[in-house]
Amino acid sequence: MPIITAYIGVSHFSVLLYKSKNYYAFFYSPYVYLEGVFSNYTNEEEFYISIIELFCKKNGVEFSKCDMYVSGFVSVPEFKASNIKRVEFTKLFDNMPTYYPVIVNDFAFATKFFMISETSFGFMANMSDDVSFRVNKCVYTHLKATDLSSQLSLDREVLLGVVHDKLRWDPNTPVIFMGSRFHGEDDRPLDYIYMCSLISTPGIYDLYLDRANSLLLFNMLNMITEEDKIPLELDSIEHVGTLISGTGVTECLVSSEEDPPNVFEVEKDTLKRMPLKYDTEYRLVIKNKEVGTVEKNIFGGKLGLIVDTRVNKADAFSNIRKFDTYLRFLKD
Amino acid sequence: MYIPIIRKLINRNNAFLERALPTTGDINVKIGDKVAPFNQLGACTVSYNQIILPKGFKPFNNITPNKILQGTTLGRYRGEYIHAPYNGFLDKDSINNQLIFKELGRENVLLAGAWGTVKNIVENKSILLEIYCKDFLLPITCGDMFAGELVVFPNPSELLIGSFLENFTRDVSGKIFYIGGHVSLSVAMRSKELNLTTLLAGSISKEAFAFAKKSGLNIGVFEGFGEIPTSKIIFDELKNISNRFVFFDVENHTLRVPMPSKLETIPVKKPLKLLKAGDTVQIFQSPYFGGIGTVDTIKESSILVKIPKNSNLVEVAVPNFFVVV
Repeated sequence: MPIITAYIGVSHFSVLLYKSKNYYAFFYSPYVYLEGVFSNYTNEEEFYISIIELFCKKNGVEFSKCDMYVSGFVSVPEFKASNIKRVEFTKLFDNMPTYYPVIVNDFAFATKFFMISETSFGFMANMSDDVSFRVNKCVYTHLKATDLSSQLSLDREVLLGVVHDKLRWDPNTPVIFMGSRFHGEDDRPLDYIYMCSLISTPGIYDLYLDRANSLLLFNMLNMITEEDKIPLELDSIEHVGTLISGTGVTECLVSSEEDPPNVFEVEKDTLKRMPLKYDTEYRLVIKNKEVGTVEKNIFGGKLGLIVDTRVNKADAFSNIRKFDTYLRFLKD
Repeated sequence: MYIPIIRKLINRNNAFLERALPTTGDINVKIGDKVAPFNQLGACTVSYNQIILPKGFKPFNNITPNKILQGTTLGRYRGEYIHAPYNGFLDKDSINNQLIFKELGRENVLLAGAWGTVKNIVENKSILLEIYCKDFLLPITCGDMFAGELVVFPNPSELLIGSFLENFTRDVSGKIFYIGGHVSLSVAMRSKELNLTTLLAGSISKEAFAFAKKSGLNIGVFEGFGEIPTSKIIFDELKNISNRFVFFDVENHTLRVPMPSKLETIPVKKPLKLLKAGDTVQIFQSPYFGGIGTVDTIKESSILVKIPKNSNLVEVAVPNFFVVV
């Protein structure tokens, strides 16, 4: 019997239809149920089932013949249909293999032991009149910012909350970013800058991005079936690269079997990127006053090596000109 | 692509409306009766005010506890005389054993407020009516449920709203005011000063909304935050129903307007619709936030929309729009 796992985010809805290790499909809807908009003619259950039925039809599966498990951020709606079961949000991080999972949306940030939301840092109170997009997003949570300043304004609030609460990051486990903030197929450099900015603890980090929430959905599947159904290679997970996070001047040496050693220095208070080949293994040696002198083997990833020596990482989110220079660093 | 449907206005032919007495009383109708808005469904006697008298209060012996006229001295507390603020009677709180001065009960008549049929009755308490109605969607609401006469201002400009408020709000009790396209903080504050209880508008500023929540003003907004005019499809209907008795339902995000006869309805089977050129959509993207237009072209991740009074097509990204049905 096919199994469906679904995750209802703040501004998107992601679904996995699983038949076997060789046949599975992901789907995401950029729309979620909005109480103030749809409750006059439909309900949450009918709304989500309508979306899933379309997806099942496309994949030649009958929804009524599937078992479905649903989770969501942070509460999970009640479903009356007998083939739908709920999975609490707090359970989603259990037994997450290999990665340190981070879920981010436009209003909140969560890891296994840490969560902040707009309410913890006075979201409404901080807003000025020119940010009606942000206020409207409280009602129409699915809305997508189409201009840079609106998105930066949302990101900044969450970032300030994370910085304020002094979250300690663990450099020894690869970090994977998921959630509504990163959903979709956009290849947006601002997403990468945001990821780098959220990591405030000095260290060398292996960064991954899961725009389809595939790991979350497969992990839910594993919890239910109690056997490992996660395929070894998930195409939906993007290896972003390696981040060196530490203030002050940073000296780097990067070498591989194919390329000659490359030595470079990154000045303080900046963000730099060195492109590397995606699947190639490199030897990295760095020297930084906060991180120390570290030698490590790394794989290139999509962006390669990112060196972030910024002191105040939230600054650029209120200064578009500054942010634009960082965007150029990452694009080059 | 499939897009969710937004229903800004729904005609219903079998909606239910509960009419309840504030306290137990008599019900004058029976199941199956046809009623009109001014038909009396029931009545009860209600004491609207009461004062809990402090412990140590000593009532005078010469007063008649079951009928005390306004101004009568009730007794003394710490050397101070306490007078009856209204006609009332003395009662005792059985739990705290404290004296209470209650206002004499006034007759409360429950009117139907709608055309409909009595479907069910909770003895001495409430009546369930089946009615015809128009339900207006209010995505943003705050306050409490309220029923009253709808007063519609003709979409005055920000400057004129003040003047409308001063001139058309002499008798505000039991009224719901549609005050125009936008509620600013100054309008919300002036409304509160004039004792208005319920305001409807196309949009609201976040400061005005925060003020309304804090001060207990009931608010219903048809579009969103910011300066967004009320959609034509909403305002064209509203102006035809001024002075009608309507129901502001905060929890269900609805303004319910009872209608005298059966309405033409549009059945919607699923909450999603396969988008086609020619469909009507509402845009939630700056600078046309709240605008309603017609789909011209459908692209992979956006659509081009034709908006009235705008010669150019407007590009709107998915998911910043809904289909209007």
